Amino acid sequence: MAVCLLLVLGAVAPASLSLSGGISSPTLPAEGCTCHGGGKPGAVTPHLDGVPSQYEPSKVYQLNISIEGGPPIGGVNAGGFNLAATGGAFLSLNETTQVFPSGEIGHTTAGNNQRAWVVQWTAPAETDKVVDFRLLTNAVDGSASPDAPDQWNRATAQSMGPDASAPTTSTELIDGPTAFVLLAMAMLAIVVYALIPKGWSKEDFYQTIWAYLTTTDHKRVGMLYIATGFAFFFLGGIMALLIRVQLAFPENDFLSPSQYNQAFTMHGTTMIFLAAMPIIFGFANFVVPLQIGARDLAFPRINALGYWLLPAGASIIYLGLFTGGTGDVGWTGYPPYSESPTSQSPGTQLWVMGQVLLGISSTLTGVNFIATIMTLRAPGVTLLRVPLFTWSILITVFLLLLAIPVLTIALVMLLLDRLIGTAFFDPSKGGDPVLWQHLFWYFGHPEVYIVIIPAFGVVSEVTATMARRPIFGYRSMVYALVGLGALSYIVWGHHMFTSGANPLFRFLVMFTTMLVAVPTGIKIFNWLATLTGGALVLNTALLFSVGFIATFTMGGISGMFLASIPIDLHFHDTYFVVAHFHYVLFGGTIFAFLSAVYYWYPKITGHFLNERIGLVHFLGTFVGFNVTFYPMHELGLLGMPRRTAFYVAGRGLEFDNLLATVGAFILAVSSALLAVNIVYSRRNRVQAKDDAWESGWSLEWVTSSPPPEHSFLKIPTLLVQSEVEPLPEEQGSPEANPAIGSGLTAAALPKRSRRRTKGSP
Amino acid sequence: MPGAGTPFNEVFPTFLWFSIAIGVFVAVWLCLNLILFRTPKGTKRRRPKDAPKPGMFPHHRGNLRLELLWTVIPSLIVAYLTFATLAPLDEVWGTPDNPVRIQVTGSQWVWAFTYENGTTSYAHLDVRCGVAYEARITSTDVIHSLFIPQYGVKEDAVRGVDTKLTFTPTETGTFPILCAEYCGLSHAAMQATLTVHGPCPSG
Ligand code: HEM
Ligand SMILES: [Cu+2]
Ligand SMILES: [Cu+2]
Repeated sequence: MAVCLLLVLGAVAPASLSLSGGISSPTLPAEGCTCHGGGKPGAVTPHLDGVPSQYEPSKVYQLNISIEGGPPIGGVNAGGFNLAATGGAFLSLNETTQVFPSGEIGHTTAGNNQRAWVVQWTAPAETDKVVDFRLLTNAVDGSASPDAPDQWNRATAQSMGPDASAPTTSTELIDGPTAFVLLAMAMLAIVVYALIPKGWSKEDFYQTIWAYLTTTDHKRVGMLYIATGFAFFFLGGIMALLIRVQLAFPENDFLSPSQYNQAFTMHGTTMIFLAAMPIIFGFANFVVPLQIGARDLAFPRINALGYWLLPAGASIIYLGLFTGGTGDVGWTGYPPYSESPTSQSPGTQLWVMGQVLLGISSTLTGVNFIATIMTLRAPGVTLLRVPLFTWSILITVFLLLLAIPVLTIALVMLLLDRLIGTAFFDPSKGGDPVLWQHLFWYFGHPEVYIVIIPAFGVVSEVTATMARRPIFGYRSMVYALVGLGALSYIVWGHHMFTSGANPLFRFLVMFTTMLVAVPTGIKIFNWLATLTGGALVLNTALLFSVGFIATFTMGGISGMFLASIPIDLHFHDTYFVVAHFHYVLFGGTIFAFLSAVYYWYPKITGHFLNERIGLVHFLGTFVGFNVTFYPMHELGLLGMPRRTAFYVAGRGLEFDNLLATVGAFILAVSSALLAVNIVYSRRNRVQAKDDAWESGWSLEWVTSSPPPEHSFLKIPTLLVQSEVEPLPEEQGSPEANPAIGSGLTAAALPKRSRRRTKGSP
Repeated sequence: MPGAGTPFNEVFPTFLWFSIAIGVFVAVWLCLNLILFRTPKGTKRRRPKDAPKPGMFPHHRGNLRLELLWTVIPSLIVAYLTFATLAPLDEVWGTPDNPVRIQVTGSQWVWAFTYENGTTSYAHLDVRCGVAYEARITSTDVIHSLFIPQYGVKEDAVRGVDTKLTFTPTETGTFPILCAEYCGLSHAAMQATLTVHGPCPSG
């Protein structure tokens, strides 16, 4: 707590920082520094001797300040210090030190060419105080230039009055968050327990576990992925709540800066790589083979291997918890910070290595899906009759296959930099840190499409089925997907508008980024047109998809702002960006996959989820989501940078932050309703037919719910409805006939289509 | 919120109006869909003529003219918005005549400002109203990003790279300077104050 407070102090009151007598400046009294702006922190050892562990009230103590180590003394200046205390008073003993109006003590110009000082401190008169000392020192070589090999550091000490209760600050720091996490874990345990069917013997239990451990069946692997994904979604959510509690109030100290930095790093990494991607892969595993009429993926064993690398990689990343801190480099891991001495915690190392493993997992899965979709389609399932969810997965795995190797290479380069001292990204040895940004975002932008394109697929399925009509503009949907996939490779520079890149490069990227709006617009309008004229079954699955359309549109719109360079120069790395990517990741991917849960649940388990709980789940999530993330747009406008462990009061940030925290708890409570719903629906089964929604067309609705062990008793053949039961206007239509039988029935024959849709409302 | 006259504020309203228009259009269409085409429970559910059936690729549904329409119109909007960004972009990248230069150096976790006369101040920057400034930015360690919300600008500080940023104060007062690129433990504390001294040139 004390450290945090002091950090805040240092931030809001520059006058309280140490003066560097070696520097003359017209505005001297107002400013200060912890160093000369150069060199490395932590390379010297400051000593503060003479602070009594227990003070006698009003007694005078002599404190010795010294700096050990540091560069050779060159010019006239050698070092400086600033000492602050939360109680008592300082007194200067000679001309080398001075007491500032703030009550702190520091060196003077005369005291600037030495590295040791003596000062006097009078203890407070109260007997029950706990006084915290903070000493800042820097050792310089006298050149006073920004490149000087300055070395600086900080030391703290504490002194208690005879009646002061033992300080609880440090234990408090750990206990708040820990208690929070333990509570959440207990809730998870209750849910898991509630999911175990009644009357299970130990044998049943072991058998089921063994079956899942050894399975290569796409349905079971899919279930494993989905369960793992939601478990990590829960974990990432807990970290989000920790973040939000910390930010609920200005200058809060619920988390220490170090804990905060770990929390957002693990939150981002978990949500993207361990929650969103596994949930997507899970549904892809379960649904894609069913949709194309295959009994399994092309390489079932590789599929299982791909899955098991996921918990392996995740454990490595989380092992950091037991090595004194997880990675704290953000999910983007920018060097040189990620390889600097200030982030050498083993957690960062483990974070990098875990990521490499996850990359291998995704690559294996990617190859597998391409092979499956290209070669295992049942008779009649031509490429342009593949359901849109499968199309979206096909595009996704292509993106994955092109993007992941770039990340893996960059990670290996980072590892080499960290481990054996190569200098790919280290500018102090001639490396180029911006190279990492290019490599990372060349992967990273496609990566965000990897998590949103499957969501498009889900929404296309759900809107059409629940409108009981075919999807509007099937072909333009496919082309838009392909277009988005291609565009996603030429826009990565929009994450680097402030990195000092070539203006032409920045301009081109701005333009290509804005272009993304075109295929995205096509998709949104096609979904809206799909609903228009349908017979809408307004159930939870459709509600989540409708919620998706609303929030995703919002996220797309804020993306347009970020694409415009003059606007992004303000918004980049502020909470506006946090709002934007949660609107597309949470309001997009997560909403769509919650929709997918409700939509495919009857196929997976054979019974429906409860609609009434579902409705509350949706409303809570939708409201909570917007209460959490909408205010963040304004926080960005007000210039609150992201990844900051605290914010100062008085900049107008308080209300929006508090609102966002309230929203996060609404979100958390309503997300728990999904677990409640699963447990409830298991106990009150509403059996589902094969064609659970009575208007799905793709092949998963042909097989039983749940599907038999080998998915299809007999490999089905996909027919074409306009051949089997042509609509009145399709009979005898001159253009329709040549297409029939040639496999081109799905081809959009514009005249015919125009005539038909005119009639529909 | 960036002050008036910044490049940010030259484009932001344009984007805002287009966004509101598009957002309202989508929201209204979406709500109308839900209101007009909803088939409530209990009533016999209407089954459209072309309702899909399991195992059959559905009828064709679409309208080429409409689909072209919502390809072309967004393209035009995109073209216009790109165009609207051009002039402010020039302002962002152009260098004003005879700017006053400030050397800005980021270090974990303090900003150093060196004025043209060679003096350096830490965590504090003094400027005069109405004068054009060009900050040349670098770092001595990890990447930082000089962020002045008042002028809606930021630019990364990268060791070994000289980046720059220009701004012209138009209002006196004290404003925050922040670090926008995560730079380690005390990233949040890497703040400075900007004091704009008057008088401001009138008009
Ligand atoms: C319970 C709901 C959630 C809340 C309250 C929440 C909150 C936050 C907040 C406040 C930050 C910013 C932290 C900072 O910059 O200091 C953040 C970062 C982030 N969130 Fe979330 N989030 C939630 C769900 C999600 C989901 C579902 C995803 C992705 C699927 C996600 C992905 C990310 C990513 C990638 C970051 C960036 C981390 C970084 O800066 O390295 N979040 N979240
Ligand atoms: Cu991007
Ligand atoms: Cu920073």
